[in-house]
Amino acid sequence: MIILGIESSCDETAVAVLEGTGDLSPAAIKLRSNVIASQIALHREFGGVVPEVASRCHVEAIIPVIDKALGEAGVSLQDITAVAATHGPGLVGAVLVGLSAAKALALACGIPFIGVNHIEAHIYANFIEHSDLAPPFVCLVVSGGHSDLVYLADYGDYEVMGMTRDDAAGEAFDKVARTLGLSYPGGPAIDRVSREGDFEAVHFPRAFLEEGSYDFSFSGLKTAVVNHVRKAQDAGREVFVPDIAASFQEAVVDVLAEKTLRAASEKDVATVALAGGVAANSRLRQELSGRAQRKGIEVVYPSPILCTDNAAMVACVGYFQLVSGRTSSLDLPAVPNLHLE
Amino acid sequence: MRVVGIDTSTFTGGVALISGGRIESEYCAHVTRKNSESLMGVLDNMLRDLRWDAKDLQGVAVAIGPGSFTGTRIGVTMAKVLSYCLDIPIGQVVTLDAIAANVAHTNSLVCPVICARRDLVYTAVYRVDRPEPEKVTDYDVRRIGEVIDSIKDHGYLENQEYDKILFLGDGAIKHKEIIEERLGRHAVIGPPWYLGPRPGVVAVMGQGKIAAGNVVDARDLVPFYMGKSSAEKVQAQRRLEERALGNECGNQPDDKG
Ligand SMILES: [Zn+2]
Repeated sequence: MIILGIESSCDETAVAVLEGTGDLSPAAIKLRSNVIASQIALHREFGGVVPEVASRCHVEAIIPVIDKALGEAGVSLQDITAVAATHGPGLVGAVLVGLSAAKALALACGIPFIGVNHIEAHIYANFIEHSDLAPPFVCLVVSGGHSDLVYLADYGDYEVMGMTRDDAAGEAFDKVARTLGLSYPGGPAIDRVSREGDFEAVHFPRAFLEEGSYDFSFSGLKTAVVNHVRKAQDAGREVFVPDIAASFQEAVVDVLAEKTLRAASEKDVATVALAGGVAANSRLRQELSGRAQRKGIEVVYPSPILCTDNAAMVACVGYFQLVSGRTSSLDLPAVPNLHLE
Repeated sequence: MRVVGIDTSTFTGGVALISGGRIESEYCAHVTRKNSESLMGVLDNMLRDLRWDAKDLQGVAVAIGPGSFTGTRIGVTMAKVLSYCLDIPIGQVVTLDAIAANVAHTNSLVCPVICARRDLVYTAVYRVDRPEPEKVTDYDVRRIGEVIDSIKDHGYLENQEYDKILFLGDGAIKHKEIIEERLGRHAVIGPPWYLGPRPGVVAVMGQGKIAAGNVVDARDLVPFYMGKSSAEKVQAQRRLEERALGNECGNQPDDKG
């Protein structure tokens, strides 16, 4: 079977083609194409994603991106078994473009439509390259839109152990990058510049919250960085951006790694997965892997191209749902604040 | 020729199927976003009732606005994908034209008024003493007071060239008092069944365009935003600032264009 995936929940218009044998296993799937039309350059002008601009671009990009994904996969519309699209969470005007496209495609081709939860899709990105990955495992989903710690008991069976109470991790990266005069998006910029900095230069606060909590909070940390920079500037002191960036990044990574491994211990799992745009952060990968190794826990994460928003991960969820006999109605609405259930 | 007509651009919306210029099936609702989102499900049922297959469709007509940005994008995207998958031409219809076409063969002027952002309206004035409406003023986005001023300046009504001017669209209801106060007996607010664009009308008009070879490629089809690019930038900047102030990204504010 061949699944067409469509993703448009934020600033990437993405379409992918994924093939599978019909077995309920990551070993059964093979990615045939993964096309992403990124709007990052466009939004850089505004220092962040502008919903109205994003929605417009999705409308313009959707047909060329579908066409390219089919072409690169070497398949035609007649070969597609089902179409899957993100129906939330995300910017509603943006989600609606990919979702409407998927419904029209399902109707025109007479094939099933499957609505996909974007966060679930980030988790499933791990199955595309790790054919031996199997539930149960704990997954840390960190991106510009979300910071969730999820226990995946089985395919489609989740427990959200913790989530952010204010800013998403990626959002904190963007805001701190802006304060430090670094380019948008902030995650890669901070990651890059931190390599020349000392992560022990400044000890920024770590918000572990109340004992036993798996929730996150990054707004206090963000404020601490802003205040630190302002104070130095007021005193006429030069700020060394790499040091601040590295120290901030370390504070984020410290909390993420610590809570993720504590969750893994509580659930007694042997594997921890990373997902989402911030999962591409090199320091997070390094630190989490190092600490996990000492506990005998394996850490897996997708390639950077599968960490950012993409449609391969959407097609992947679509595949597992279809194999499990779950499809969606053409009435399925866009849900901007959709949660994992 | 079997054509599907789609409109999600304003306060009403729906889908219609026509064959040989005859309306075979039409669904129209006073829409919320949810109605627009479920249109493909509605179309699926309509096709089944007529015992048509999606592959029988030979053209797609779509209302491209001006109107609600998010709403219009839903219909435009559906039309693009139907055209791409079924390899059928698209006839695009300006929403104001479709509303004006609700009235025909009448010696009146018709002025559709669609509510836009803030106090602005999208509008144009048409003569309808023929089968299809013909614009006598170009598409514009302005204040209702300015719309009335320009109608008075034109002198159509004083010269008795036209008897009445019929105001349609959601803006006609919203600005009923000022319209009636300033234009007196010349102004008529349209009856409810005339107010919005009808998907059946969109389908017939779109089919006319397709028959005349006036088609648009699925890749090139975009909503008719009628926006000014500088205004868009200001708006974009403001939204960004709102987000920076802590408003959650995900809930778009009023998106009326
Ligand atoms: Zn994402």
